[in-house]
Amino acid sequence: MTTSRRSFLAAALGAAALPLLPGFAFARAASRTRTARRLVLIDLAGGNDGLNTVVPFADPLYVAARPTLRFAEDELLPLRPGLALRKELAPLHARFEAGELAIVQGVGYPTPDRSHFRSTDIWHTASLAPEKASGGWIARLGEAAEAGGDRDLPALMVGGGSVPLLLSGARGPAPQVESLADLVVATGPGEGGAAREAALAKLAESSGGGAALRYLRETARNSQAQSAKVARAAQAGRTVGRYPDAPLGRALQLVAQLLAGGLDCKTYYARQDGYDTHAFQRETHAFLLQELGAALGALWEDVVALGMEQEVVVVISSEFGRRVAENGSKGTDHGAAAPLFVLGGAVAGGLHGPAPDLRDLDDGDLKFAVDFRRVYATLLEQWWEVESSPLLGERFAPLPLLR
Amino acid sequence: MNLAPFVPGVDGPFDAAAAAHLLRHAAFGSRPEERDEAVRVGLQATLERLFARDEGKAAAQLAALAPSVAQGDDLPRLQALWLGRMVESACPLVEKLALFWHNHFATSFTKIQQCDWMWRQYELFRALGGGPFRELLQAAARDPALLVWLDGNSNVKSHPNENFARELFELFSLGVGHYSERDVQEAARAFTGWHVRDGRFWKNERAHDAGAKQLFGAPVEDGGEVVDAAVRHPACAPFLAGKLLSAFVCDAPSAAAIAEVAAALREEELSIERTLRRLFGSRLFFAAEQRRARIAGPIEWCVGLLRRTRARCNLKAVAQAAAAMGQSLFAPPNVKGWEGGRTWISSRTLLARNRFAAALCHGEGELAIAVDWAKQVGALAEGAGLPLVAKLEALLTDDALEPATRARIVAFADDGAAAGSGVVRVQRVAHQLLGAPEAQLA
Repeated sequence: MTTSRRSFLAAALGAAALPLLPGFAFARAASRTRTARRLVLIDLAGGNDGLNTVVPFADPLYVAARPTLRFAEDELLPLRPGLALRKELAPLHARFEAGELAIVQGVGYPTPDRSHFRSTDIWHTASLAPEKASGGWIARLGEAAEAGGDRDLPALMVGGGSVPLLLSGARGPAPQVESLADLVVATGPGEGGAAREAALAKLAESSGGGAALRYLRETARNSQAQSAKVARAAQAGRTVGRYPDAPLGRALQLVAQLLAGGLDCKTYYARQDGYDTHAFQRETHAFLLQELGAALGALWEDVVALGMEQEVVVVISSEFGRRVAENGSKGTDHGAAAPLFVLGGAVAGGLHGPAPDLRDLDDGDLKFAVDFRRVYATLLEQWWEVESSPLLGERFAPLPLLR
Repeated sequence: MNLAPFVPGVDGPFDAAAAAHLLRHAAFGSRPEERDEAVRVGLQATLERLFARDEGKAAAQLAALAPSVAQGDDLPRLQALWLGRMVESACPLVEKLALFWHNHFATSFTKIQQCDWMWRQYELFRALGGGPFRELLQAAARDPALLVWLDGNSNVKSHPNENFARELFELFSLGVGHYSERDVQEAARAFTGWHVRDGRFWKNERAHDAGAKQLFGAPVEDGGEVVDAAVRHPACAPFLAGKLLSAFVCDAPSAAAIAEVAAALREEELSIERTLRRLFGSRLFFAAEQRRARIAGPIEWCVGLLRRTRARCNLKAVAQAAAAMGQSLFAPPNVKGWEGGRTWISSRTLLARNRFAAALCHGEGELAIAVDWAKQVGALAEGAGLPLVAKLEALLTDDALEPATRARIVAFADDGAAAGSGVVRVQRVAHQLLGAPEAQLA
């Protein structure tokens, strides 16, 4: 580990213990240095069918379980004998071939919850009891950094929809931007717009009132400064990648634009909706994977153009996989373990974790082999270089995902 | 604090502030003269009026357009139609309750793609939303839009589809933790063959699994019995109580409040209207800690402001503005609906609220909002800052401002260089008011 890698949180987390989690304390570092390291988290919301993403096409149990939904070898891109990636993800396959894509197989957690919303909260809080957690794990990371004096923007949501628990904590939600037009402060006609904007901003500085009002004020105050910063970076940034004209494509283009504009944001979050494929999955799933692959391919093109391959890691996950056997609607119901993807120049590419065993199911679902919190521990310890257990509540062994 | 009746004079006054609180939650807010009228007739008579069902001529005329609008797949027109009915209705609680159920059985046009199915579902919520929950849930379970939304339409005996059954328990009646995976699988079997044909519910006997099933440890056969079992389940009343409190009282209801409302729901045999009537007339509802304890959702915020200012506007554009604030009517983000409360607020949605406020106050842009600001404030337009701010604050926010916020806006109004003069000044002061965090509260 180099000193420069020992980045933004190192000093931050040497700060006095924060009342976030029991035993919250961090390793100290000699000095605080800036880093260009970035994390991009992408949620495949709805429960991505892992078996039809990283496909064990040669397994007779897969063939039998998917009479209408299965894929054959010649429809897929090879990963290793018997295992292949969907063609729609060709841009990701190219990174796999280049050794820059890690596919972690069988990721999940004990006693899987098959509710979208609860399972999403479990992933977002890194806690099996999300209602007891103090916000999302990325929000906690950001709070710790801020408490240590780090002024960088901890996280930003790109795209529409509400800001998830992942990015919401004691200090309110992370800022969000869907398009540049979002960032304009309307002040009405006539000269003096800047003065009116300033007067509007000051209204969030009052005190008094209940919890809801205090929350509104704090969010407004944070938002004003952050939105201005994001707007400046977006204006400065240019992209070269060809992004699909779809929500995730637009979101990742904005990420590239902000990376190019030099925004000091640590974690970008984007969500692709639509993976809850209970019926007629084949077409829907292919469409979604196509958008995902194209958007990621374009993002990576920009990352390379910016020379940031070593500074950007992209993690793609979903709240759960889907049932091994398809249902009667040419779809699949909620399942459990699924593969997770980690992309980046600093990533140790290849297949990680044991291949799912279709002979050994839990009530029709794949058993997990790798706790998702081990991926978080890896990111915290080896990407952000902070002690992971205070943020995750317990110790999880990192995985060899980063070089 | 409990659901015992609030006795004006004993438990506190039913004054303009109390009336405004009631009308913000049981309606879309009020104009000052409406609160004065509520105080004049008293709490009981006001409650009677709130639960009346005569929507008035203007709203009825809009509703009469539904058959033609619902013919096609023009979602913005459909959104505008409902928004218009909310703005015009003389019985806004009916619309507010329909909005509550739309969020509860959150079905999206994005998958249904048929305006008339969405409108029929909404009419179902209007018709049965105040009645016993059992009747509503039985009807919703047979609603074509909901069946297609949750793939019930393709749930067949050979391979049951669990989507509908799972959400019935998780999101419509019990909440997570009150049923097993086995219950979901058995319930999915009971709903096999609950299909849609020619736009109507149809029980497809050939696709139905008539075998024995066990649910919550007791035998059931058909989906109707599953619905009844869910409604009878002890977790149903607290689940509904929490949702009613979050929608109609405060963002973070206490466990004690949930228990109180759950008990009332059981006493009222899960009748929503009878329970809400008790809630809106209770000490719990009028307690100091429940005032300004809820962040207004985008639709209620927009509709409230349009009603307060008697604005004329492009309702399609209003629907779009509300979508930018996070609430696209007939298109909730997923089957859980809008989470509401604090999740309404982010940097992006605050800026979207400000854009709507600017359009409302200055009449700019696609919203084409026309408000007669001079008429709203009369002679106060030219006077000192404080009376003008007080007048607008009462009109737009029911006197919500904290003293420091009010002082800042008064200083703005008194600063000729910043505020300008005449109607422009009124518009700019109104815009400042709506930009205050206080103005986002219900």
